[in-house]
Amino acid sequence: MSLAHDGSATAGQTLTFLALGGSGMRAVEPLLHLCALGLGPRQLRLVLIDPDQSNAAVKRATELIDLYVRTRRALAEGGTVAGYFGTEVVDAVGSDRVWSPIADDENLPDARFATRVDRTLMRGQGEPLGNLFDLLYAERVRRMDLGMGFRGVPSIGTVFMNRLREEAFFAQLLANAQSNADTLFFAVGSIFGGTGSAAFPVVGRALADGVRGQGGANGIAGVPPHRIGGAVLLPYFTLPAPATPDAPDGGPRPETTLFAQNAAAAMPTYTAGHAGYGALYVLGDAMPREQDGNEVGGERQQNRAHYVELFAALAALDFAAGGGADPAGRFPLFRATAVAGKEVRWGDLPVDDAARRRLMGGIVAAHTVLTLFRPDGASNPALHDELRGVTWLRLLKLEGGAFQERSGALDGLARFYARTWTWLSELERSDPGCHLTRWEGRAPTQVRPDELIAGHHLPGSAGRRRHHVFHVFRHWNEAAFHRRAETGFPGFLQTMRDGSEAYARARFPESSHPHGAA
Amino acid sequence: MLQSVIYAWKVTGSISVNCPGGFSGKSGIVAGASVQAAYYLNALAWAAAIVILVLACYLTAQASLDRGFVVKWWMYWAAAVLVGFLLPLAVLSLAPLKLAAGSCGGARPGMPVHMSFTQIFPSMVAWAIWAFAAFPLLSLLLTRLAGWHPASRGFFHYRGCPWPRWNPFAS
Repeated sequence: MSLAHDGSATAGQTLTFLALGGSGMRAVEPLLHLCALGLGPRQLRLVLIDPDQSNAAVKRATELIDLYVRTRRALAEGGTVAGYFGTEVVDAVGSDRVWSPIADDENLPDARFATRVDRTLMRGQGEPLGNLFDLLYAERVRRMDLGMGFRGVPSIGTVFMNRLREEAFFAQLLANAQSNADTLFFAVGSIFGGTGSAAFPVVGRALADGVRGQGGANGIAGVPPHRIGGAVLLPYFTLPAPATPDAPDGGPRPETTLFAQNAAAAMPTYTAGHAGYGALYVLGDAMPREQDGNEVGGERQQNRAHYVELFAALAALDFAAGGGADPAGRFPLFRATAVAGKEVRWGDLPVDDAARRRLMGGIVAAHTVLTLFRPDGASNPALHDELRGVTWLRLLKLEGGAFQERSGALDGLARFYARTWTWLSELERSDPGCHLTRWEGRAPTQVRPDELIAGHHLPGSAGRRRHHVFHVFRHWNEAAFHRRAETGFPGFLQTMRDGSEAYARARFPESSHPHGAA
Repeated sequence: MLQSVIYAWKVTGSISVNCPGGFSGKSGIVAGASVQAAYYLNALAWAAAIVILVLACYLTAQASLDRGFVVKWWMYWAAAVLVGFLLPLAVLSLAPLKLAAGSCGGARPGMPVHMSFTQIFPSMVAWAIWAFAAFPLLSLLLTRLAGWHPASRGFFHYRGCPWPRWNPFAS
């Protein structure tokens, strides 16, 4: 896998990203961060699928989507947004935000599996069906609360996932795909757990098949396979031993010992091309990280970010950058990449130099926002004075007061980038670590610009010179000079991107020590 | 005083010195040509020093305009005033001045003589005042003229200094 784009290749694409279950949901976060750092497509349509709507991953993803949308809207006031936050993020599901396959029945207070399939009605003529149901599903499975997800039992989830074909938003997605040939679909989900495993094959098949016409209504044709991609996540984490063997509702818990077995059983469906996907990215880790807790679902199921989720987001962008799979190719196409050593470093990211540079520049820009404009996220009352006479400000014909007028946009930018900072810090502290940074838990104001990127340091005196944010501004000055036609706040956003990338290019060159201490 | 500041670079009158050697106790006159050469040398050294200080201030900095640079600029300005003050002392006291012909009675013309500190001091004050004015003026001029293009490096990146960013206590 090689993400051969610098953001420009995806600029015209519409990518519909389907996040399936907890792992898919956690891939939304890196995807949004990448979009905020200027690596996203023109439009990103998000479809979040999870029956466990109170899950911490769902909450985290929806909060970040809201923050992204609000920030982009604030930045767009008075001009278009290009570069950072250039991707328009659209909630494809609608007001419900997250589609739950059991949502139709959510007016029922009882979310137990047996209740949701109307086991109590399987009497009389339906008795054989009831007996078959009892035979196939153990008592503890029959009474499991589906509101907490499918918990490593994908066979249950598949029963409900097919309801997707009846959803209006799904029909709308297919209709849009018919009218816009640039629209691509990409699904991410784990195939060793419950919800992702249940949804992944159904979603791919539903996209490829389309919707059948019913009651005289016309159907909607499916999407060609080369426009459907997906990332299947193999076991990349394990769970600690639970305090009790059963979940609080008496139902089963996901079992780590079955993860590899589940994945191995599911893979043939995909290798044989039965799931409708034109391209598949298979991601996993040979040394799965043990999660902090073993929660069945809900708000307490809080897991730290993992680099595999970042790779899943990069896979989606890679798929979009290539405009989908080759239409003339044999499907499914498989993409593979490898990480050298235990830890993930810049050289391991499956992206080309331009995208890597853009990502580094984005980190520099985020740090600048969190250091000067909004130090550690707080407001800076001295900002006007600190910027007085600065060259880029003059070239952009911006007065110091311009930032007071656009304080809402800067606040949003700072809030989002603070989340980006936290996310990158989590990746850094994870085990296996994703050592793109070497911040060691420090706040943005405690990190100098020249130590932002791990593993790239300049030898000699240039490497010893301590930088601060005004060293970055030197590159902003030159960027503003070359962009003099674009002034005002839109010019500021462009200058921030170009200048920060120029700083990254100068300070963290490819020729610098790739694995040295930063 | 004003006149001495304005004409600090050149000789404004004949300079008398104590006669050297066996003619001590008498007053002689320093040869005008040697005095003029010393003052020209002093003017050139002063101009070079101010230009070097301005260039060093702007071109050795590696960042963009911030409070740190404004403080640095003030320090260089103070250094320019100090250099303007001390340079005449060094140049004029070490300059090879010669005794004018016919002064000091029978003393040989061209004998080496030196100006006293009290004779040099007005020039020191005058050149210091010139340095006080020249450093910010040259800074302003170069940041305005050369600073429009990034190739001028520091003059581009610090074009906001000295104006409007001359006050280091503003932020």
